[in-house]
Amino acid sequence: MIKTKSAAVSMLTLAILLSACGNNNNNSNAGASSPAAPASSQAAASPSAASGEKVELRMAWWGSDERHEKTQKAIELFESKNPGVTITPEYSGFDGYMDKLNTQIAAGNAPDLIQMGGNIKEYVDKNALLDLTPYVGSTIKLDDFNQGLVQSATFDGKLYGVTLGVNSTSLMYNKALFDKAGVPVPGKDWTYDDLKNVAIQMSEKLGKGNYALYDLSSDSGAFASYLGAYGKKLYDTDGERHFEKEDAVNWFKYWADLRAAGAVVPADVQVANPPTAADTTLVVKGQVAIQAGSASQLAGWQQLTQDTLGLLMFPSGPAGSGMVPPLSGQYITAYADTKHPEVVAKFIDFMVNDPEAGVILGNSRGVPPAGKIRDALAAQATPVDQAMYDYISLVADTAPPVNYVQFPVDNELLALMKLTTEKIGFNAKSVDAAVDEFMTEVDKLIAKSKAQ
Amino acid sequence: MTLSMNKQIKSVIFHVIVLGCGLLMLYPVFWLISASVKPTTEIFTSKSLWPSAFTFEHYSSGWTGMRNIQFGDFFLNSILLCIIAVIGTVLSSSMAAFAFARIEFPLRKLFFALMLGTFMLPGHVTLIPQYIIFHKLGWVDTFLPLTVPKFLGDAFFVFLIVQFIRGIPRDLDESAKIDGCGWTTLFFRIILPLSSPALITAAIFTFMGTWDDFFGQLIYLSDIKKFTVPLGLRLFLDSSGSSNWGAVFAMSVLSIVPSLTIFFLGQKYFTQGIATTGIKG
Repeated sequence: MIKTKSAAVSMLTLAILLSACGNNNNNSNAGASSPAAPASSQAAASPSAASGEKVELRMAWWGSDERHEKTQKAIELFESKNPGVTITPEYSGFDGYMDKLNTQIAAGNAPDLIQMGGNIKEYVDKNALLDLTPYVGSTIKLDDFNQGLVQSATFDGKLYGVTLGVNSTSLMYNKALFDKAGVPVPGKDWTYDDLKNVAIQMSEKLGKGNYALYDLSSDSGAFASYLGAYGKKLYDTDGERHFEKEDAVNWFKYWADLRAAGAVVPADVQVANPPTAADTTLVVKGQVAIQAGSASQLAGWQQLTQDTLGLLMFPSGPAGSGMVPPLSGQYITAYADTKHPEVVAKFIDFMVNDPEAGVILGNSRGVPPAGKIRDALAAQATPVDQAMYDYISLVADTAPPVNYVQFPVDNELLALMKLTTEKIGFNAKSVDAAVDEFMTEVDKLIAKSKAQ
Repeated sequence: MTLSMNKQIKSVIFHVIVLGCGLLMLYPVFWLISASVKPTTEIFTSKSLWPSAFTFEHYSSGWTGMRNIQFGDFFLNSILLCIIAVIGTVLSSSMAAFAFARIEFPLRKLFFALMLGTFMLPGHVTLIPQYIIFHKLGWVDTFLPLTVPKFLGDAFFVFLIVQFIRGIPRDLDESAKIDGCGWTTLFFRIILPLSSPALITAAIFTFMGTWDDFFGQLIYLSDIKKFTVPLGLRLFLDSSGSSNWGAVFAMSVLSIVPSLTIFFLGQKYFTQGIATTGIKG
């Protein structure tokens, strides 16, 4: 009893001593480094750094160990180029990242630099993010960026985030299954008829328990691409739907036929093995040849299997390709209450435009948005990286120059498409009747989005 | 003869079923251990629990693979947190429980009800106000928000120990008082030793709760050097990109060892604590 107590006391003392040491170290470091460091011409751009005062920033991001390591190296490079600036990394996995951020924002204690995902608008609405527009052109250079990427983080004419990496939807395939079935992997100019033929042919040759294709009828991205290939649109800037019942009937009928032919994964198998995660998808397990997925997943998933994985575009139709141009996966944003907005802006530019930083960061957040960084990376790419770069470039070249607008209540649309698929898949409704209901519900969703 | 034969057959069937259920429940644990020694390409592709080749690469990459930090540091941080939390909770909760169970003081019932009220309050409600308080105190990114509150008692354990102390005969108190014991001696010499099953239960619960707590530690700790095991495990996972699954599984296997050890060490008292508080309460 007494022993444990004294042990605990000594541990406590130790902890206090240790933390005290840590503080001392920090202070002495800072004291030593800031006067010794002459303000460089670059640092002079920011008044706080120029005055010799030290700038302390915090940066939060999520990711896995590879991204943590690369980002820290980039931060160290920035610190060595900008004496007096210290950036404290705060990184974690994705679990709980947004919860922690919400708590910090509520307490007025959020990091100066925040990695943000597709939910950037939510934080713009909370007034939590810094308007970066004043720094564009002078500090943050976006000339090399696809205009769509800049638009995606612009709200009411103000820029709130800079894209760190682009991503694109894709059909991910397992080449081993194509080889096994003796069917060649389709090229970039394939059509929906080709897809149907390939799927039926492969499923016959692969035999029981293996399938050519996941059932994509409930995938809103796939549906949008299909509509584009037939000269229609799921949704547009005017806030209306741009397809007719006939188009939706054709789409669901297409998949009903494939289902009837046994060419797609049956509903029960698909529910048990959803293609959304590496640990459940049957494409990684080598039982299904094709699924829809995001291109950035390729490298991570490739590590989990000995089969070769690859990326295909969605098929084309009479109106050409319906592919959506590559979109931003993640943004770097700044906290609205940061004390050093100039330094923050400078770091943001550094992350996306500095060639050295670009090489360090690689594709740890998707394919870099700036063309010159992509060129610098191509030299050191692994075959999987190269496949991803090639795919993104291919999509960028192929995608029609349309202004893509995401459906406003995408999650609800997804749920609705799933329900429609199930009604048809389990023979509860005919395609025609199910699509009638689908159209009514889509119009309700659109009305709801307008009311918001 | 036939009767005992029957009995034996029944017992065999019973054991087979129980054993089967046990194995079934242990399957996820076996899977975890097996995944931690499989080559990465086999983790999700092979159905067999027996890997084609054993590799301990995940253990070494998980333990040392991070920049500037080793997984061992996360273990030390977690262990330190747990020790402080256990001492704090057991000490403060038992003292509060003793007061509620034995000492007559004004408004005792009201305070008891208020205390019970605090543990009905969902944690999410208090999360942000608490964070703001700790932020104003300058305690964010230290161990203080995770340890200091433990020294202020935990409503559930206070309740648990109160129920236990109520089961200890008051005659003992009285004889101790006759022998000249004050409240302090009575508490430390008589009540505390007698309620050890309840204290050990509280200690084990606190240990496990702190060891597995992810959210609290996530919110308050930002510096990687202060990270604990649950935070360290999540460092390998990125749901929107690539994850180092092998390392996650390997480190998960290691992270359940302390919980298991503590549980088996205290198991005897643990069940005793729950059972006796149940009956005598």
